[in-house]
Amino acid sequence: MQVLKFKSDKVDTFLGSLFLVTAWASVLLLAALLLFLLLESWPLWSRVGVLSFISGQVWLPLSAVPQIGIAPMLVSTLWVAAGALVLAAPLGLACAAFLAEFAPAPLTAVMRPVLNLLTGIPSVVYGFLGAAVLVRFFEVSFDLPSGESLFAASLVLAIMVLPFIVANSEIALRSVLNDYRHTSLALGVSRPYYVMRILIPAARKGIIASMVLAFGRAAGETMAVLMMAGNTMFMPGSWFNQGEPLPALIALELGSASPGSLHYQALFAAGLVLLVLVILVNILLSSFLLPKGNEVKPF
Amino acid sequence: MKDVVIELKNFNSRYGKQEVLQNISLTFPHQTITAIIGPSGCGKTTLLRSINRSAELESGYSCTGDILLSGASMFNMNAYSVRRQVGMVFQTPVALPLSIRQNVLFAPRYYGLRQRALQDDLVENCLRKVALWEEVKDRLHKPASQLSGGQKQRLAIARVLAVKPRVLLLDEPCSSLDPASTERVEETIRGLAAELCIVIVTHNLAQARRLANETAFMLNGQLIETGPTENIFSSPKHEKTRDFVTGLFG
Amino acid sequence: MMKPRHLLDRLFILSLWIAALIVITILAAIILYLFSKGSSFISLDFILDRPQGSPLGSAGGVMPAIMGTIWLVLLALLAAGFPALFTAIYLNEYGSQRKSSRIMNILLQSMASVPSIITGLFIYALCVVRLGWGISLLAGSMALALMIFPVLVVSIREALRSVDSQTRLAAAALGVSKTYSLRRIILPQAIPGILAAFLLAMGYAAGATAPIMVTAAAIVAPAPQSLFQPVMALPYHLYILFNEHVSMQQAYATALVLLILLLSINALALYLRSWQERKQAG
Ligand SMILES: Nc1ncnc2c1ncn2[C@@H]1O[C@H](COP(=O)(O)OP(=O)(O)OP(=O)(O)O)[C@@H](O)[C@H]1O
Ligand SMILES: [Mg+2]
Repeated sequence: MQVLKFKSDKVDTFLGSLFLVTAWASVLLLAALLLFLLLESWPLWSRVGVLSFISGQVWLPLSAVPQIGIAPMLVSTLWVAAGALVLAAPLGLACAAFLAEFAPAPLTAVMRPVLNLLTGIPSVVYGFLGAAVLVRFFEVSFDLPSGESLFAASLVLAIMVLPFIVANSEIALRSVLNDYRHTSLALGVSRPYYVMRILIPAARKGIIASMVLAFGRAAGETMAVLMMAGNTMFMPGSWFNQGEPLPALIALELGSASPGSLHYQALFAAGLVLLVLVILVNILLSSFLLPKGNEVKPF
Repeated sequence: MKDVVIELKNFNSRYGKQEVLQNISLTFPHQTITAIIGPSGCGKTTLLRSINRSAELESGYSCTGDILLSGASMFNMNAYSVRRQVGMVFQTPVALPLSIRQNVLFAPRYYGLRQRALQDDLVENCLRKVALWEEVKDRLHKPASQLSGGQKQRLAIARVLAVKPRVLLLDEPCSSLDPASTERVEETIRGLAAELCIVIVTHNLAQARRLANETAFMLNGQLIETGPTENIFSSPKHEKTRDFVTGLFG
Repeated sequence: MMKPRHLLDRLFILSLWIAALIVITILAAIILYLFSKGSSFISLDFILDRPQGSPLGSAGGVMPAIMGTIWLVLLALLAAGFPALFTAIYLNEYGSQRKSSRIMNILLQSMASVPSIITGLFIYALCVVRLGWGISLLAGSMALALMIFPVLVVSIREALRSVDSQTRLAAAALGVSKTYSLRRIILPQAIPGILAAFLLAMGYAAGATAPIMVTAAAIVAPAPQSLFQPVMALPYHLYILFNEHVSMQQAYATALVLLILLLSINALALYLRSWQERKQAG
């Protein structure tokens, strides 16, 4: 009889450690990224200080007496993203609830892949259409000198993140136990009541997660805001003012900042602020926003 | 003779092409516990869900024949109000993801119960009826998911009682409970029989014998035999019934 | 006394229908509008020609931009592909129980949320400036690689996860090594899903503008000849055509080419994915 030998022992350990090392090396690139941004912007932090950098109202890195503050851009970023969420969240959740509970099966079978497909439209196309159609429309119908505004950018960002919100919220809604539906409906309550009282509250973790992810996406989006928000560096006073969110600032000025200059450092500092903002939102999401176990909505 | 609350007339139902219930004619009287027994897959759950009109929420379900609720065809009534009047408790205990109190108030709130005092009364009342009040009165606002299996099952019954049904359908209410919890749930059911028409599906023949006034035996979607419990168990007319109750199959 | 609240229920359902209708209308309108505006300017010449006219791009076609995008995407896949595959395998097959993989998951999720302009910024500082590559094809594809890496990992892991865990246990119970069952059983079953993951990542990279805008893109360039020269790319070309007021017609046509390209890649990916899901289910 032939003896069976366990032949690939060495190969096995080798591949195992290869996977391990690659995995860690890859995800640690994130740390490298953070470090690098910190490194490139380091001299600026000691010179300007974190607080005055964030709260400073004027961005004149090239003047004789440089002034460096990103408050208007930071506010624009938050405003645009929050505005997009305000527009997209109700619509997205309603659409998800529709798909999960009310849509006739054939309609769901069409809508879901179509929505999935639409996540593939690149942001530059949205930005282009928004600027070519929406902005023009605002100019013509409200007789504005320029139709660009934070609102216009929010509108386009809302459309961009809608498919994500719908998809993620629907997954959350569908993962709620089917037993709850049987039990509720057998008591003689209606589907809408079940959806409002049981389904959505039970799925709220996933729903909130989908919203937070959408917020992060909107805050970090470059092209749409670059083409629609107006790119003015004043502190926006309302949703209908123009502004220049951080990604647009970086995209517009990076090419002209000479490496090592104060301007260059300031752009990396701005990038660091944006990155920390988005990552904080994420960490908040995975740890604080979603406490484990407690399923009950307090009344 | 007690009033008939539910009457099935030549009732058939199917999921897609598969016939699940065939030509069932059966009555359930007021203040009576009727047990339904039969081998797994014979259509007991489907029968209960048909009477509660929640089977029609499944895709592919269809039915013919008629079911009367207090003499009137339930298919001419509003489905919600049928489900409210014919309460159903499922096989696996389900605690809705709400607090204990809100579990009981879940359906009443839909039906417009808003006043706090009335709500309090109702919660206490229903929980007492299922003998759960003493166990949970100090933690009404805690998640119901923390309750034990037996407590959840009694909570499920309380939740149904909260909308004042006339009929209580119980689908193997004790199948996932230990003997002590079973005992307590049975006690609850016996107490409720004074004011309700109760139908209980069970695989536990001893339980059927202990609890039920009437028993119906089903096989492959057909009603084989029905009558007073003692007759079914001690002198069944049908050969298959005899085989089943003596444990030869099923 | 007990009455169901029919009116409220009806209103609720009605509003959900309206919401769904709005969403579908908006998205359908976008695609239809782009088709109606762009399709009459698209021709074989447009696809195969170089940009011409004055200002440059107001006539001619987009061939160099298409070639640039293809090169950028392929190099990015080359750079990110194996690390992503290994990371996904590690996460799903080796480390799924360990605490360290929870940390890795959080890192991965944070990585996925890094705005693409920041990836561009990082690569700009590292490759373009420090390593002295200049604005170049290579730098751009590194930025794209970094951007698609987390997306790739997550969707490859989905593909691996959808392989029935019974299969895994059965293989392990026979005493074969982990890599053997990976190679013979798990990977072959996950192939369609992994392909789909690569396609999705391709689409994502091909449409990205911000990262290449600062690392690789040029307003005009020939089709790529060297790794260290700037290239044209479709999305950036679209941005320039519109933003520099070169030509609206050309912009619409370019947008449509980009859209068709990405939608077909995505459709193929979704098809592969659903095919695998059906295969697993059936
Ligand atoms: N939602 C459904 N769709 C299709 N077929 C179903 C559905 N529910 C039940 N059936 C079928 O109907 C038949 C009867 O099922 P039912 O659940 O009523 O049996 P049961 O008597 O309650 O069995 P058990 O004692 O195991 O609970 C079975 O063959 C089952 O496969
Ligand atoms: Mg059953």
